[in-house]
Amino acid sequence: MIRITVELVGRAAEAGEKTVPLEVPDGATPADAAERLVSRFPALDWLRRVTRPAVNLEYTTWDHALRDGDEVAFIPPVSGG
Amino acid sequence: MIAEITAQPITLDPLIAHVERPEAGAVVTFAGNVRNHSRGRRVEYLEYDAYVPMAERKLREIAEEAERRWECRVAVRHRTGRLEIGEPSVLIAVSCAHRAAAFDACRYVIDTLKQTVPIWKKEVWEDGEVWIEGEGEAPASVCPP
Repeated sequence: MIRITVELVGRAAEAGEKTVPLEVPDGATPADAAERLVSRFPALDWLRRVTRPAVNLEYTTWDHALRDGDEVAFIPPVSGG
Repeated sequence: MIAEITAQPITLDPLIAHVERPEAGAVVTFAGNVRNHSRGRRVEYLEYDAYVPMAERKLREIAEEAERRWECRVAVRHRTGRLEIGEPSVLIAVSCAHRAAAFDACRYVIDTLKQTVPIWKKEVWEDGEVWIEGEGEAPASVCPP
């Protein structure tokens, strides 16, 4: 198992927590992390459909292999400016 | 270069002062202000939220790319928190040798910011509120468990 941190950002932060530590199997992906997160916070079931994953502050793909200590975030479509 | 996310009010003067230099004959600025209406509704105020460490990194990348591509100097700040009607949420100053490049670089910074920097606005009206995601409204906010 590896330990990662999920930062809940944008609308997802309204789930109640901002930072969620997770343990996931070696080779897990942002898609796996999202699934685990949604099982804990069912109100976030829209995450996988709506957001783009980011790892260590860079956009990435849903099948990116996570490493121990990674910071993962699921980025809703942005609306700054 | 300045590329910052801040919870404090922002003003243009320090950004202009940062980019002005003897080689630059053109300074272009952009201000994004809070508008009192959106999609036919009257807006009371906006709340901006950011994934700050990633937003600052992305903002810096955009400013660096603009500086490289147009040989300009860029200063950009985006504010978070509650903003009243008329207040600036984003300010940009760009200086180049000539005006065409300065206009293009400034436009690149604001357009790219709006596409990639993880910042979100929530519109608050008299009788409700909604997060904006991309060009449209997000579905009703998640309910507390």
